[in-house]
Amino acid sequence: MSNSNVATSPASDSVAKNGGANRDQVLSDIRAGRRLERITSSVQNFLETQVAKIDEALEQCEAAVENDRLVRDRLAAFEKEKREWETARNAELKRLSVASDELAKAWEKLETDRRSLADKK
Amino acid sequence: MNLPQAIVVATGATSSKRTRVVANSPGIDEKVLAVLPRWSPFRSAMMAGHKTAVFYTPINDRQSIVGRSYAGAYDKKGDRPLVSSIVVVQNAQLKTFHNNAVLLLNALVSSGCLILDTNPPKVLPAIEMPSAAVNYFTAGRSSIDAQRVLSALELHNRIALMDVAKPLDSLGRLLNQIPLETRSRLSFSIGRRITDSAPFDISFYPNGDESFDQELAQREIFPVQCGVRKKLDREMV
Repeated sequence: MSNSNVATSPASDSVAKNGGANRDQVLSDIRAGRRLERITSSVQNFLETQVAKIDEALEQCEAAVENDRLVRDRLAAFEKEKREWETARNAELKRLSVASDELAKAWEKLETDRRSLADKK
Repeated sequence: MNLPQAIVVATGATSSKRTRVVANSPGIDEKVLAVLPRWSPFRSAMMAGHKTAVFYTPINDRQSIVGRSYAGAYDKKGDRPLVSSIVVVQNAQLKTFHNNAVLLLNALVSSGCLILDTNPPKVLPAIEMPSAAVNYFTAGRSSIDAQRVLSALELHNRIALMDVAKPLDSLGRLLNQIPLETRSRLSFSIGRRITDSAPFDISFYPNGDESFDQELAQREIFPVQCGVRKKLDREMV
């Protein structure tokens, strides 16, 4: 019995070999593409994380600047209140001192009158 | 708080020999009563041009005295005695007045105490004073440099502040700038001259009077120029 159906020529062998190599190449390319996709995705994720972190840091920085401004405003308001309070307090102390002097003068006037009266007796 | 008081009358012109306690509150120690005439002025000890004088001095570790001297009414002999109203104050009581005897003096005079009474009882009531005092000398500084005064006292023991305007007020502010513990140790007088019997640490003198200049030199009292008529040759501090 002839085995013509199974007999292969060198040319057909070459074609078959070439077809296999091409498939391997395609498969390899697909795998490389997927790796690249994963890497790209990873880089993308990394960049997104960093951008999120930068956004957060920027927000915090802006809040700190705002807080600093608020603290400075509060300090200025406190200093102003303190100055006003000290002015009012000093004015009150001065008023007390003047009142004390006036009372003393009134008593000294009474003393002079008492002396004059006693001298006349 | 209760402060015992005494009235001392000086009839002598040139010494404290005829100076005696004529009335006092109960509770003043005999030893304290005995020193009161020594610290009270006689007539010639008053500074010319001053009708009244005030003074303060510690008398022992626990007590001090503050006083005001003024002319009394004519007595039976026709002489005008010099009267001193004196209050004895405990250290703890003076603390209420921020250890500033000027605050206490002002409080006493503005309450009508230390004023001439032409007919005082033999036994005087103790003076009732509030147990808290406002230190109005914190509002503003003294025209006298406190550090300069302390340095002068350290070097010379006794000093005369020359030509001070409003001496009582200036002294009150000056004391306020001195540490609390030192404040109550400094004796002072205003309106009277320094005598042997009453050697105050700080006294007040006018400038431009040769007899006063000699008096200060003889008693080794250092003049500290405070007024506008500064004489640089006197200035040593």
